Amino acid sequence: MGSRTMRTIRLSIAVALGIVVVITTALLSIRVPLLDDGLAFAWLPAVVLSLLLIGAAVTIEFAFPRPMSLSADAAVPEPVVPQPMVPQCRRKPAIISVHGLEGQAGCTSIAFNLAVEVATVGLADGRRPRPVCVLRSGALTSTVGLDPRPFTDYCRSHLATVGEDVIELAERHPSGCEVLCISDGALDGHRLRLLVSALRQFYDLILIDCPPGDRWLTDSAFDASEVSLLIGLSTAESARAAVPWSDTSWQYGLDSRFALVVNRVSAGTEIPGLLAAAFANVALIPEDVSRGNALELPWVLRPESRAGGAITEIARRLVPDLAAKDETHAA
Amino acid sequence: MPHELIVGFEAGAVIVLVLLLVPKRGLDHLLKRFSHLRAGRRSWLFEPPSWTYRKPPERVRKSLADAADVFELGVPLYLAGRVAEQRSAQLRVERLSLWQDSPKALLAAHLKGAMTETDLNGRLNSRELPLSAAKARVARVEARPLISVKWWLERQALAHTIARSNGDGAAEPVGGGSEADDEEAQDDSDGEAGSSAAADPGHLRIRTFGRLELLQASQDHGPALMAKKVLAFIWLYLFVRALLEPDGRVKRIVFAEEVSPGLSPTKQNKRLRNRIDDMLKRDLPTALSSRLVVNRNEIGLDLSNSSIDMVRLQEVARLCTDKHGMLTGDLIAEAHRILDETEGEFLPGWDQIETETNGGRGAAHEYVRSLRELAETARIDLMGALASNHMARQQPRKAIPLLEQALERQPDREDLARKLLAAYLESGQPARAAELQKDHALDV
Repeated sequence: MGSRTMRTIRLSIAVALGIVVVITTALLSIRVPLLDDGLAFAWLPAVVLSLLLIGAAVTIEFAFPRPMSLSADAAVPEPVVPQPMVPQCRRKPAIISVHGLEGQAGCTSIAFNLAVEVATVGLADGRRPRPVCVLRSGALTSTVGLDPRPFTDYCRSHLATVGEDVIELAERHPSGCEVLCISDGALDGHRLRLLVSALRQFYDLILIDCPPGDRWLTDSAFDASEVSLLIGLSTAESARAAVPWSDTSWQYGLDSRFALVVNRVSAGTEIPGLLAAAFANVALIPEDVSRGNALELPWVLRPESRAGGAITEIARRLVPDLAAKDETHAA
Repeated sequence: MPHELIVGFEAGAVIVLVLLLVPKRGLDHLLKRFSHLRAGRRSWLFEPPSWTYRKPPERVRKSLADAADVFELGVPLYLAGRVAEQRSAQLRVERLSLWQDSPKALLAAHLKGAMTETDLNGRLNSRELPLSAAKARVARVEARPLISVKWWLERQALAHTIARSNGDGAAEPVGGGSEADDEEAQDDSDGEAGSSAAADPGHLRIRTFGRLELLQASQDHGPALMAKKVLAFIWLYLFVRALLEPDGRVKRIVFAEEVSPGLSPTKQNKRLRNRIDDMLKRDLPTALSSRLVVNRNEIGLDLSNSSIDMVRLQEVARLCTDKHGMLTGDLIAEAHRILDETEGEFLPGWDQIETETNGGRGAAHEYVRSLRELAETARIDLMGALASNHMARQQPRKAIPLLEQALERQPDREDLARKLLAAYLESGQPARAAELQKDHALDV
């Protein structure tokens, strides 16, 4: 049932209830003289107060007319998104692994947007930081025109080594962040370790987008990184997938290294209780209304994007040494 | 008129009042919603007005939709919500106006094809914003030709001949150690610069570690400045910004907000103007006030003809780390001297000054924190460089205390851990090496 129908039903019930109370009171007043006296005393002040309230509502309606929505996002009900709670990365370079709890959870988009945010407005020693994303090929990478073949071929031809020359394969985005795009299955735990040790010499922030299901790669990414972001949706599947992560993190006392990021939260969404309770660090990213548009900019580059705003807040807490310090930069 | 009808009207009036007062919907997260509205983090208290979903309706239907919203929320909550929504809309409009000049907006325009990368860089430059990072490149190491043995022997023979003709007992290499000579020459020139600076009455010597010392013509103006907290805040804030950025100029609007956060812009500007007038005209010694650079839009501090221990620390750290090993005697002495001088905390009284001036609500502590971190890193780099020098001279036992101290301060420095591991192994302490390797999870 739509929210507008529910609203109509709610208001109708309130009016009907009011009418029933009025009729009942009228009928009871003959038997209860006190009620009669009370109503005779109260109706006039009630009328005056009602008129005043209506007058106030009308006045504010004329004084502050509601603005038209500035974007598609503004015309959609907003979820309540609390301030994100995520661990801080203080090492140089900061290394963050991003793990999806289910397919299409949006971890590639979030990793890329975090990198763009830091590259665009961050500061490291008075200059813009240079982040790098290791992304799996998919919808986003094909949208921005990234070819996974060079790096995939490199991985297949270099079985046990990763040299510094690998950075020549990274594509530079105009924001200043660089992207290494790779096909699923080409990267394994050993290569990831070697890759990270090569990348850390050249970049200020390394974001690793890990596919779900590859245990070795996941463990290696977790070992190499300082913070792991688990990206899920508000679904039972994500809640189920979060449980083993949560158990492991609490068992080894590593819960402060994890943050659960629930993506595509909308006003009507209920986050499963199991998911909300799984981790102490939780951040929500609202649904981005225009996410389906292939030619759209990264969320963080659109001023009215709620998803972009949420990622900006996450970046500031996640990498405080690199994220924007000046308010005008963060605008 | 029947009595029941009259009572019905009276009850109706009361019920209408109740319906106008009471919200008729769930009020989940109400306080959080209001706080997010005040911060401009959301646009609407609950849902957007029902008429925003489609094109704007005619006046009557819009008014009916608004009336339904009022009835649903109850008038008090509706009024409070509208005021908060208005505040949020203002904040978002302000942010949008700031956005137009932000790097994100310029980059978005570039990605949409509205400007080329050259235009983008030009606009970032004109706004004094840093450019995006360039593509990472591997440094190409050029192969150097080997020195021929014949040339080397001839050079040695020539050196002996010159030494003999000078009557020296020991043969000094002619060209060898040219780097060390350069170093010494540079150190000498520094020494000369230092002595000429001491002779210059306009030269300001700034010591920031442990305590603030502002020495000009043998007179310390530090205590006089620290006695006036607000003026000290202004002078030191500009000093810190000048250290962090080469230009170091601060926009007056931003600085006024920093000095008096929470006031209206007019009051902030007035207050800042008064303070600057006070500083320039009477409250500060000329040695300090003459350094202020004030114009219509910006304010800054001129640090020319001055020597600053923080800057010297970073210079020496850079010089030593660039050597990647053996250091000259002068450089070692200078490194030890600067380590001793910078033992204390950078700007130790800053937190109190900031709290008393703006309640610690500005971004200034971030700048000071950054500088404290830079100083700490420079000191640790310096210790690492001294340790590398000992290692290069086959003195691992002398390197160990330096590395242990450095690693204790920054335990995440893998480079230092590796050096310490090597020092343990070279000094015959495999057990400690194994322990360190385990603690820092070092790959061998």
